[in-house]
Amino acid sequence: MERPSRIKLTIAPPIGIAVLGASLVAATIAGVPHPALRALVVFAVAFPLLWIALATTLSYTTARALRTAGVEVPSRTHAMGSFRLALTLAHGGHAFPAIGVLTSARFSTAGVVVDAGPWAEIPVVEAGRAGTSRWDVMAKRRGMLLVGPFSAAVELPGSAIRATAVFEATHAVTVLPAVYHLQPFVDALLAGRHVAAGRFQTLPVATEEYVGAREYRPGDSPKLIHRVLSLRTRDPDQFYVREFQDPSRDDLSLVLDTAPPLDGDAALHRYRLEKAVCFVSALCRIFAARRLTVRFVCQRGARDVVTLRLRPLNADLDRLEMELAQLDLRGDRATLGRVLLGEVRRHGAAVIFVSLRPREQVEQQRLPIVTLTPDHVPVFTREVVWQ
Amino acid sequence: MINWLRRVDPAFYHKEPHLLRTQARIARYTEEAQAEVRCSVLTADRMLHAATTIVALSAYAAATGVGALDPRGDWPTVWAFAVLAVAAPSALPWWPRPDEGAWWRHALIGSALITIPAVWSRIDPAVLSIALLVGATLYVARGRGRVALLVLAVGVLFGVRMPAHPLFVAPLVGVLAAGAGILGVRLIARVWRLRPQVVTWSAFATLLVACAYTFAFDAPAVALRVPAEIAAIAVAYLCVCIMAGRIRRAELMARPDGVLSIPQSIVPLLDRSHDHAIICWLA
Repeated sequence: MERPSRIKLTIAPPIGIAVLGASLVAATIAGVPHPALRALVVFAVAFPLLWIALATTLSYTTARALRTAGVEVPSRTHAMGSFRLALTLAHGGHAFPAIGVLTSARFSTAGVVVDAGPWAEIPVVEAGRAGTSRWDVMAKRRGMLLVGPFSAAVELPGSAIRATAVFEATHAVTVLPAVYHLQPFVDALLAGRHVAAGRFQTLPVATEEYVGAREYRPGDSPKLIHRVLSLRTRDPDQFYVREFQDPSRDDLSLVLDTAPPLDGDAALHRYRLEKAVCFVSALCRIFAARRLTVRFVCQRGARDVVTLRLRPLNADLDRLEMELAQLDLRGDRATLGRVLLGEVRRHGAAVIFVSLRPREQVEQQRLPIVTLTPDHVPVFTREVVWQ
Repeated sequence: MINWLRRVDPAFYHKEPHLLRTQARIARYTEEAQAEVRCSVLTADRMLHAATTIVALSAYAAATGVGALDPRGDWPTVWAFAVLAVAAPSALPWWPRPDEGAWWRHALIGSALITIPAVWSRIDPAVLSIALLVGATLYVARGRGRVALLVLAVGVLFGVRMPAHPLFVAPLVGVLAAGAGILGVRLIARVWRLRPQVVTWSAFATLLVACAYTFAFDAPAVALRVPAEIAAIAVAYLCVCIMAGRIRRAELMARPDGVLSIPQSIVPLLDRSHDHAIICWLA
């Protein structure tokens, strides 16, 4: 159990103290010359004083006797998702119960601080017992959310002080990217990817799976023609072929752009980054569902390029989300160009580049990669999941 | 790629904020908004009104020595106390708007305050005249007239105790008392919306001032009924404690059930208009 690290006292408004003090003095001065009224004067003056003294003492001692018995907070959550936060306070005193305890938590993330409540009430905590207050918290900013310190305020009616016990312990919650649900036709990103690096499609082997259809190109085996799709087209000379792949091969690279903007529109760029991060996370989940192994590459900082080999395992996807949770606009154009070139040169690698720029750059147009601009993200996104 | 771009909904970026905003709770999180809600809770609290009325009536009983003050001799004082006991609670900010029958009720209560203590001694035309006067003034004084009546009553209370003729001194003292009262009320009014418990202290102070007045000017009469006087003050004090509890209840009821972080200039995530990083509400 954690004791309060400090007790913050907020004194009652001075005007209230002044008015009451003046009236007490007036009543005393008026009553002292009359011995017959002594009992009356004593009662009239003592009652408010005793009430205030009692309420003040109880407020202070109760706040001191409070302990945190437990904090229920998850270690990670998704942006746009809410989680339940619970604070259990125990009353370590022996005599009086804690009445009307108001509890509050401080939230902070990347320069944004919320420390003004809402105040959750625990009506009564009896001596030796515990009470719990609960909040629902929605974190919308990706990254690290700090929950704490917690405060428990006690102010009995008539008290001259508001005693607030502050518990300094802080809990970190990693806010993972928001969960996107993508459209089913996101498969189209995979169609034609083998050709991207100059690899020619042959007949599928036993380990390969159907991944999609694309237009017929000279050299394709006629056995692979997708008859149904080809018959549906209006042009009788247009054919579609089926594509197959081995899901266990690490030949799909996903590169995320983290380079800051050149034009200075940082807000819009940040907005695009957030969408791109969530989109990449969703895309990797889709690929994992298809048992594909993906190489995820992005620049984390100056000379810091992170490469993750994502097998279709939950542990790998968790690793990716933890990495994405910390990403920021810290890349640079030169490193990004080198990364793209490196991925393209990998034998047989199909590269999907999630860019933050509205248009493909000239150097990217020359590379055999699929570039997704911010305009494509809404196309493939069906909905944002609110949990 | 061209096909994908064709699927872009041009209104996506405009629709998205509205879709997302529907999920977010907007809380009453400004101090002023909380004060408004608190005031409305107090206005609807019948127990608070009853406690306030009992405080006023008990204060009247204590100030007049539980009937020890003779309405025939000290009629201006008794009149002023009766008027203050009936009219002052309705001037409080949480008192509901008076209905049609309120003026009649006030007049009857004011008259009863004079008449009932006289039942134990003697009801004569003089007592009835004072009761009628109290009833008439409470019935006639409405709206801003009530404020003037309160000022006049305070002026009379202090004016009759001055050595000079009350007719000349009362208006002067009334103006001074009104000035002091308005100053005090404004100071407290500025604080009470944000720290409503200051009302508890002010109620204690009002009762003590009434007691001080009685001790200073009517000690011989009050000395005859000290136990009854203590009982009246005790009832008033206990009702002040009840008021404090009700005000605390209003504070809890009016507290915000959620807060949003301060909106940021940099859009952090998906909805560009409702850009709060953290939203927290009571479970």
